[in-house]
Parts: sequence; C-alpha cells; structure tokens
Amino acid sequence: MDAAAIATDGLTRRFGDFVAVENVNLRVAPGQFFGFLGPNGAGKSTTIKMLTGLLAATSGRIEILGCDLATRPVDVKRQIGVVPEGMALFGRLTGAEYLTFVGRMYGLDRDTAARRTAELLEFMELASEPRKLVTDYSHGMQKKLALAAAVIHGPRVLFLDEPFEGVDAVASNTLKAMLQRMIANGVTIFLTSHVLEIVERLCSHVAIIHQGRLVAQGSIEELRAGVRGQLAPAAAGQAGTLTLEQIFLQIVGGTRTTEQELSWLG
Amino acid sequence: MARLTPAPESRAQFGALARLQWQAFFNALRTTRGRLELGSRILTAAFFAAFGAGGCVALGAAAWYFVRGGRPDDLALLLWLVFAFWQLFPLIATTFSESFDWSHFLRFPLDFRSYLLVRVAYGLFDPVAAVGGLWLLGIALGTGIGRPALFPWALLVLLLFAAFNILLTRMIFAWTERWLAQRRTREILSALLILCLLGFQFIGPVARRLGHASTAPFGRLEATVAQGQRFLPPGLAAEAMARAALGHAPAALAYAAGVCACLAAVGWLLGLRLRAEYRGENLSESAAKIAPQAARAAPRPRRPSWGLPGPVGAVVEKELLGLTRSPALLFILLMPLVLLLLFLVGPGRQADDHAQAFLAHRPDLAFPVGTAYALLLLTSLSHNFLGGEGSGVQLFFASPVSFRRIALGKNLAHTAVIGLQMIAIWIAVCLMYRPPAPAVTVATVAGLLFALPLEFSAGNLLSVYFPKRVDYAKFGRQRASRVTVLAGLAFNLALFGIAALTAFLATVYGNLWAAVPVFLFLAAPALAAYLFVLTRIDGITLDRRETLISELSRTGAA
Repeated sequence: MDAAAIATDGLTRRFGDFVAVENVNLRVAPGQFFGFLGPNGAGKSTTIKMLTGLLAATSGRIEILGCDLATRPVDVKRQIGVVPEGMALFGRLTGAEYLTFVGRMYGLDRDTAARRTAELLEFMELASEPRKLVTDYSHGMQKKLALAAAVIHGPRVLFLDEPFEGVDAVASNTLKAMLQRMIANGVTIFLTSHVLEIVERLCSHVAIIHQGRLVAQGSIEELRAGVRGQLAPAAAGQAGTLTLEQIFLQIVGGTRTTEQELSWLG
Repeated sequence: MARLTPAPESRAQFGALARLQWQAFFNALRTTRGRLELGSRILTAAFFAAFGAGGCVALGAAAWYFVRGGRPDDLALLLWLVFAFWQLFPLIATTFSESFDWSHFLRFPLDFRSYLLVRVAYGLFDPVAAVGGLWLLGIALGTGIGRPALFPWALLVLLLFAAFNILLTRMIFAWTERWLAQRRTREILSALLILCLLGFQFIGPVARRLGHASTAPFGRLEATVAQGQRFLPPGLAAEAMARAALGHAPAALAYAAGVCACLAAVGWLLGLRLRAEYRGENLSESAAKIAPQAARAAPRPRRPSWGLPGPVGAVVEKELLGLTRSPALLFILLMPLVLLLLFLVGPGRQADDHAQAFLAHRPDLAFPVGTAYALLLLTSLSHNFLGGEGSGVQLFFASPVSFRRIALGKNLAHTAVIGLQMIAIWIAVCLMYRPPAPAVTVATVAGLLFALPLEFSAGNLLSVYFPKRVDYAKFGRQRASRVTVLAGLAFNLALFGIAALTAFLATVYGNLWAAVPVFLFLAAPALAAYLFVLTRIDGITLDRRETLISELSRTGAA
C-alpha cells in the first residue's frame, strides 16, 4: 500500500454470521480532514475501533502512516490520538490528573505532561473547577476532556468518534478552531459525525459506509458530481446546490414518510 | 399540552423488574462465561444452603434443649448469634453479598413506596438473609417441638426479628455509603474509628487492674450486660419468647412491641436515606461548593509524588489516586483493623478469671491473621483490577503501552496498599494486644513475599478472563464475577493452607524463624510464576480485548 495517512485493504469484520464491515478499502491522504459517514449500525464505530487497534479485524490490512497496525501496533499507537465511543475516561480522577496520566501513558515526561495539561484545560475552558472529578463533568465537558486527552501527545493522526455530540456552540467553535489548526499543521483527522453540516464545513473528503460496505469515497465535490450523474436531467440542473445531507440521503436512500405512521402520537 | 396519565401499576413494574432480572440471567447463559457464572452461582448456593441447613438443625436442637430444659432465657444466645452473623458477615465478606444498583430505575415512574419495597424485597434474595432466615426457622421449629403451643408466637416474633435484620442490613449499607461518599464525613468516620482503636487499647490494662483488685466489678459488669442486652433487638425477641414460655403474656407482648419499635425505627432511618436517593441525591465529592477564588484559578501542574518513571509510574499514581477517592475501597482497607477489634472485644472462651476473645488468647496470631485478612480483601481489587476502569480500559488498548506494564503498575500499586495495611495492622496490634514478636513479624513478611506474586498471577489472569465492571464509588456494590470470587477463594484457601502449614511446622519444631527461609525459598518459584504470567498477559489481553472492552464498557443495571 502507498504511504497514505490511513489506508485499509479488504478490511472485514464479522461477528459470528453477521458481517459488520465488509471489504473496506479506505485511503486518507496526510493532512486531510476526513469525514466517515453512515447511518446507525452501518459499521462506522466498528471501523474506527479496528483502525485504532481496539478491535481485531477478521481479515484485511490496516496501515497508519505507513506502519502496519497488525505488526507494529505500538508504533502506530504512538502516532495516533483517539476519542473513542464512550470516551474512555476515568471517572475518579480530576481533569488535570486524567490528562497528566494520559500524557505519561503516551511517553511524555511529567513536566511536559503537566504543562500541556494546564494549557489544554485552559484552552478547553475546563480549568475553572480543578477539584471536580471527571465523573461529575457534564457530557459536553467530558467530550472536551476526551478530545484534550486525544491530542496531549501531539498525534499525527486523530480519530474522533462523534466529537461534537453534546458540546455547546461556544465549545464547538473552540474545538473546530483547534482541529483546523491541527490540519494546518499537517495532522490528519478522521472523524465520524451525524451532524452533516459540521462535516460539510470541516471536511475536505468523506467516505460513506452503508450496511458494512463502503459505498462512496472522495472529496465532497466528487461525491456531489457523482450524485448529479445519477439524477434525472431536470433535477441534475439544480444539483450544484446539493448539500452533504442531500448527497448522503441520495446515496444511502434514507427518506420515508411518517404521515400514515405513529398516528397515536399527539 | 401533554395529557397527564396515572403512573403504571406497581405490580406491573415489579413484574417488569423481575422479568428484567430473569432475561439478563437467561441471556447471560449464551456465553461460556455466563455458563461458568451459573456454575459458580450453583456452587455458592449449595454452600450457603448446606451452611444454612446445618445451622438450622443445630440452632433448632439448641432451642429445643433450652425450651425443654426450662431455660428459655438462654434463647437470647441463639438470637445474638444469628444477629451477629446477619449483620457482620456482609461487612466482612462483601463479595458474597448480592449487589445491584437500583438507582438506574429512578428514571421510571416508580413511586417511592414501590421503590422502597423493591429495595427491601431485594434484601430477601441475599444469601446471608437466606441463611439467617433458615436459622431463625430452625429456632422457631426447635421451640415449637419443645413447646408446641409456643410455636405460632415464636414464629411471629422471629418473623419480626428477621424483618428487623433485613432492614438493619440495608440501613447500615445505605448510611455507610452516605458517610463514606464525601470527604468530610469520611474523615469524621475515619477519626471515630481511630479513636475507637486507641480507646480499646485501654481495655486490657483496665481489665487487668480490675481483675487484680477484685472479681466483683466483672461480676457486676456481666450482670449489667445481661440486663442491658434484653433491651436490644435480639434480647427483646428472645425475651418475648421466653416470657411467653413462662406464661407471662403481658411481658411477652411488651417485649414483642419493643421488637416492633426497633423495626419501625430502623425502617424510618432506611426510609430517610432511600427517600434522599429517590429524589436523585448526588453523593459526589465535588457536589460541595467550590470557593469563588478557586473557581477561576488555573490548575497547577501536578508534581510527581511517588517518583516512578514512565507509564508504569503513571498507572501506579492513577490507581492510588482512585483508591483514595473510593469509599468502598477505603472501607476494605479499614476492615482488617475492624476485624482485630472484633477479635479483641468479641465473644470468647472463659479463660483464667475473665472472658477473653480468640486473639486475646493468642496475641501472636494477631499480626499474621490481620495480614492474611488484608490480603484476602485485597483480592477484591487485584482479582478484578480492570473492573473499576469502565470504558476507560479502551485507553489502555489505544495507548502505545504494553499491557504487561499496565498490569505491573496495578500490581505495584496494590503492593503499596498491602504494605501500608501491614504497617497499620502492626501498629494496631501493638496498641490492642502487644507488639508482635520479631520472628512473627519477619515470618509474616516472608510469607507475604511468597503469597503476593501468586496472588497477582492469579489476579492478572482472572482480571483478564473474567472481568466485571464495578462501581467503586458505591459502597457494598463492588462484587467481582462469581467465577472470580470462587476461584479466588479456592486459590486463597490453598495459599493460606501452605502458609499456615509452614508456620505450624516451624512452631512444632520450636522455632518460628525456621519458617522464614522456607517462605523465601517458596517465593522464588512464586516470583517466576508471576513473571511468566506477566510475559503472557500481552497476548492474552490482545486476544480478549473485545470481550474486555464490551464487558467493562457495559452500562445499565442488568
């Protein structure tokens, strides 16, 4: 495989008879802000878990920054940051203690870890309650802390599973600014989100997974052009204004009427 | 505007809760681990059934003997025994108590009465309650066989007494959880315990002085205790039965009313606590107000305090930090001291001129017994060392750190804990009994050097093969997998057996110092076994990472 930031070859994961992810071939170039989309249960989290070493692939190959994840997992993990599903926090630590701990787990010396912790807490506006335990953080605060933990060691590839879920608008702007700055510095970001407006605004490239299979991959413009080609000529004329949500729905076929359903709802 | 509808029937809710339990149990059988858990459950149930049945027969025979022999007053002995078991066993052996976090159900429209009922009813399924209930049944039957006319009354009184015990256990756990949840109340409780420990050291000298002066004060003390116990729940229940046996109906009724009053008082205290829980009380540490000036202060970088480098040091620090904030774990750490206290003041045999408890006869055993118990309690941490991590375990797999270093960090932290416990136990033994002999101290430390690597080897494997998410923030709900509990128990029996045999043989040969080289010799293969497991742990955890993550990230009550 070429030296992409993230590359998979025939990535497959089965749970018994159920195929959660099937033959996924991803290519994410270094420095790309990459959105990984799909309906619920499509295989997004399974894929991201495999890419970050949290789940073994049934078959296929994963390379991160040219390193094979199966043979050089530690080298890969040193270079990546992850905000996994469930955030992987330790509730009985304070935010500062947690970040320092994570920094040291990634090999930072104590002073560096402590210094970066203070900076990140300040940046994330989590510094105001230093004695508060993580378990008592609000959901949005936990998200911010999880993101801070994912970047404390300065990763070259960042995997974010729903990073904006439950984060308020102010914090969301802060996070976006930080992620944009990381992109500008050559970091690759792999993001899953159900908020397609955010993905459209942030990501240059996206891939869509549906029922475990990769059904589209490329820049948003390429996807837009692809969808335009599938539309009837009359509709294709207006396809230049297609939003990512419309593209997504067109690809995964996700429209339904509720007029005749759930009539008992008030 | 939303239409308000009446809350669903409580009966339907109870049915749903019972069904949830059944479904969770049944679904768990789909996996090998679930089937192993069932096997362990059956073994535990068989053990408790045998224990309960044996006690039922023995206590029944004793009750028959007392009633038949015209000594109904002695029924108090039996009820105190049942009471002590019912209340102390769950504290000393928390791993065998049923654990369930009902707070998950507060989101449903369950009214307070139903919530209270469910919480209390759940206490009936506790193995300790089942054993206690069987023993009381034995006493009722024994009394009934001795005096058939007394059976209905005895049954009624003992039912009240059983209800009292169930409520009292729940009440103690609920209030202790409350007191241990916040730093201030925890500090008060710890200070009280330390004061108790310091206070009890004066018992021995005072008793000796009184003993030398005259036996009369002891006689008076015993008489006062005998009189006083009649007004405590076990004594009240026993008196209610004894007075009825002697034909004093009004007195019997009065004592039974006393049991009812105790039941009501305990029920009220439990209700007070559960109502607070029902209203969504937050027992967290940081619920306390934060001073305004502190609110805007930037966090100061944490300075190293333990001096261990790299990820292993980070894990040790994290583990110890978590430990200092977990009321349940702090409680576990204090329990060896409580045990020493119980053995000092608890019921014992008649010796010389006054009653003495077990360790008062053999004070040299106090240090090794306390240490062995501390090691036993430590297994609730070391045999399920990932249990408290929750979804945080993902970080261990996502970080560039081999799992053996994480296990090593955890083991080192637990070594530090047992080390601190040993020091505390040694000081407590000095205060309560007498300073342990040098041979006892050194042999105990050498024994620990042999036992600890094996404990950690078993613990590392059990933690990885049978992980179970536990909430160390909750008191009394920190049970590991049943397989872990039983396997750990069997392992510890073997381990303690070897240690005890070694010490016994050394004592028989007249020199306990002889046990020291034997323990050190055994420590070498134990350490080799530990290193062997540690080198294999990376591969094992990698193979089992999905199970570990899914098991430890699991949320919800079922």
